[in-house]
Amino acid sequence: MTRDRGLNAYLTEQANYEKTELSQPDALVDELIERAQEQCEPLQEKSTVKGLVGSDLRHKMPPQMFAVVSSLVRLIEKVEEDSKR
Amino acid sequence: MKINPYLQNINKINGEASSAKNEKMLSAQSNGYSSQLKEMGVSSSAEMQAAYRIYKSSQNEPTKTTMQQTQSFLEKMSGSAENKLLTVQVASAKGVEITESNLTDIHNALNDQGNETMAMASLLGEEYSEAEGIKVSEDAAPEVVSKVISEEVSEAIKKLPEALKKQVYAAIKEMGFTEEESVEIGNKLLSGQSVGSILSEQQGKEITKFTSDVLKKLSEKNATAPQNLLETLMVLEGKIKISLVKIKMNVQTPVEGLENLVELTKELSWASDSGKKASAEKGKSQRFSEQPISDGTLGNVLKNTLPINNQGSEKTANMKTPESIVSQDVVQKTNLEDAAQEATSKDDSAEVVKSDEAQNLSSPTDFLNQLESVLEDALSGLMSAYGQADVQTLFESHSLKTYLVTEVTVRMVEVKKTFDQFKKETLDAINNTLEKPSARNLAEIAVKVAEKLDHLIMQSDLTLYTDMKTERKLVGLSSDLQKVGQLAKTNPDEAIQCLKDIKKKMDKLLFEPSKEKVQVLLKEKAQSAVGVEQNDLMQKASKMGSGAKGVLDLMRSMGLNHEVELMDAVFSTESVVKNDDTKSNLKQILLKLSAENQEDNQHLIKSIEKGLSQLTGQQLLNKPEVQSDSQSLFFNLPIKLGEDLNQMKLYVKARKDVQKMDWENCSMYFLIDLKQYGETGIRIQSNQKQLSISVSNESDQIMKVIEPFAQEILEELKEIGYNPGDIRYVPFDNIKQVPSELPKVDVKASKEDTLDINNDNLTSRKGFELRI
Repeated sequence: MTRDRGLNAYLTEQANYEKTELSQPDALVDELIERAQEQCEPLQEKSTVKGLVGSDLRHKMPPQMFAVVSSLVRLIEKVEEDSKR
Repeated sequence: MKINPYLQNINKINGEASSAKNEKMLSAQSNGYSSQLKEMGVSSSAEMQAAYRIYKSSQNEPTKTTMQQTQSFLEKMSGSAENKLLTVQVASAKGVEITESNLTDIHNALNDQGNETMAMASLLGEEYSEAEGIKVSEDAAPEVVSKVISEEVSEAIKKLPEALKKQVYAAIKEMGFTEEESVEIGNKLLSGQSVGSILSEQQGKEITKFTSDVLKKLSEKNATAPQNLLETLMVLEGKIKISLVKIKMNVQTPVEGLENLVELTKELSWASDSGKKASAEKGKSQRFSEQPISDGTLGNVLKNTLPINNQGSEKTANMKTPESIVSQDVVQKTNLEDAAQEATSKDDSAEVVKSDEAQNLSSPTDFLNQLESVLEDALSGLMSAYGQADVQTLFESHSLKTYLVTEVTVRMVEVKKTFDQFKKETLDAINNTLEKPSARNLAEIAVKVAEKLDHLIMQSDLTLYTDMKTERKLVGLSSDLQKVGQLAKTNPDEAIQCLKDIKKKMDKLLFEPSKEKVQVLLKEKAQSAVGVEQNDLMQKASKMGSGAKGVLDLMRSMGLNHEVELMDAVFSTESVVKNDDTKSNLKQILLKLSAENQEDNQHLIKSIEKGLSQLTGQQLLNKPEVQSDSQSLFFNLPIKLGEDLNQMKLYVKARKDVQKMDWENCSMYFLIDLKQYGETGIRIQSNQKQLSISVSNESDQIMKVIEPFAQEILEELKEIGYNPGDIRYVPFDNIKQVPSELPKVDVKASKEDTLDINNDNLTSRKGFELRI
């Protein structure tokens, strides 16, 4: 499927970004800011963006941890709902 | 907040005492750096000396620029010196580049008392700007909303029939407005923006009724156009959002949707059949073409909803019940059967995948029948949610019904195909491994399949359509696979047995769409199509409890992953498919608003900047900790409790392996202010999957209200791979005596728990010391 190709492409690209980011963070961020500008996507200043591109939530936290958060939220929702009765 | 566990957490990372806890300690820290600071030409105040010491102790030799930026931050930022130095300490420990801007962002994220981000989020969803308890500037709301939709609106207004626009403008003019004012008010009205401040209540009612009549006439004249949706829109919400209706309907026309479906169905048929043994298949399988879709099945739904040129058939779309929607007589043949025929011939020549056993993949016909049933129920649910009369009106629009059914069906068929493909590949890989079960093979397959499975759970649409139980089963399988990886070297026999169990579980797993979730999706799409949708972020906030992906989606909607995803979009060599994932996130919208509002409303600019700062602060606090073998995260998430919007702080710390955090050894702390029970902290700590859970609250009632639901939640945690113990209840204030009737409370342990959400063992490979 096209979407899967997109995601696979993402993973490959992401791996490359990570490698690049470690060696040339400034160049990568410069390029990102430049390309984003071309696409009318405003970004913050370079020093800030530099701190934001190395971490992808989609890969950092495993589903088990997200599932714990979801279960806890459901518990909180139930408690709140129950308190209204 | 009574404690700030996150900051204590950071102190622990650095192996440093809670150095900035009070002024006395601050004074003790600040000794001896006056001369260095003077040399740099910056202030040598006690705060600056303390900051200098913090940087030095984090092994970041402070430069002149660092100290200048710090001085700016300390001087300009409001709040206590203690809090500001804690921010400096966190930023330094996380390795964030020290700039005034970064320090401000982190400070704002950690000290978010004003709920500004929530306010901004609400502001961008009109319906919620009036919700109780949310501090939204009344002046700012229309401006922000107007800016966000301005482009869409102007485009949409251009496309409106001239006759309609002229009649609306004329009616407004008759009320005593100038021509220019009439156009302005008319455009606002047509685009769904508030005109309350310009028109009196009576005038508003009159013009709304008038516009409704005009639209009705137009829709009667032109039955093939979707204008009658607009009337429905007014019936439903009393709003006029022609722009969104037009735009949504143009995104994917029903015809395109159906074509996609036909294509997908061909592939689905082929993919499913090819997984089965050739000999078993011949003449036996319930293939698409061999069992033509009979009346009343999904095929007919699609036929019935197919937009056709025949005027008479268009009128037959006036259906009264969902059952009649799906069982309506076929008016015109579609190319669905042709597609099925083609699919069969393709299947006959297809290469049959070599497999020793038939894989348990549901046949396309079964799946389509199941889909039909789910859609029927979902449409029925949609009807009761809106009220019979409103939905009847809604479905009088043939196009909308077609749009909903095809849109949802196409995506479900797509997801089903992805799932079946994953299942087939996984079972094949497991079979191959079991034939040659070396330690290396076992470890390899465990890693590869677990990665793919995690990807499927978190980044595909699968869990959008399946129930929470199925999602938990998948997460549980991912946990089991990791166990195989761990056992591969130490106990290969157990690893093999575990892999066999996984194979059995996987084989039983079928993609079954959840009626509830499909109903929610249909409702959202219906709302979206008629332009009364909730803001995306708010939708996501209400879905956090719907599973793992719901939580990730919310974080993404807030823009906490914005830059990385933007990087994906701008650098990707392949075109990224436009789908829901590419919807604007809150941060992206705020950045655009910030860029557009240079000199307008100062209050608005301030609100936007504060919202941006808080989001950026959270992102900076989630920066990878390259030097450490653990990772900490901080989130401030909107959570929808009933009709109220609340916020929940979440602190996470876990061991990490390369990029990913270790779910088996992690600690999470949730902090939320509940309406009835006040501030509540929930701490979950996992040590080699053994969970200890403690709840902190001042109310004596908290245990009574949580206990009835506790077992269910603990069961869920078990399904995903943890071994949960009982829940303990401890007071926030550890000085207070723990009530004797509370079971299993160790005062000493609770004291430590309350003060320290972390565990030094997190950074050790040996795991935690169990306290229960």
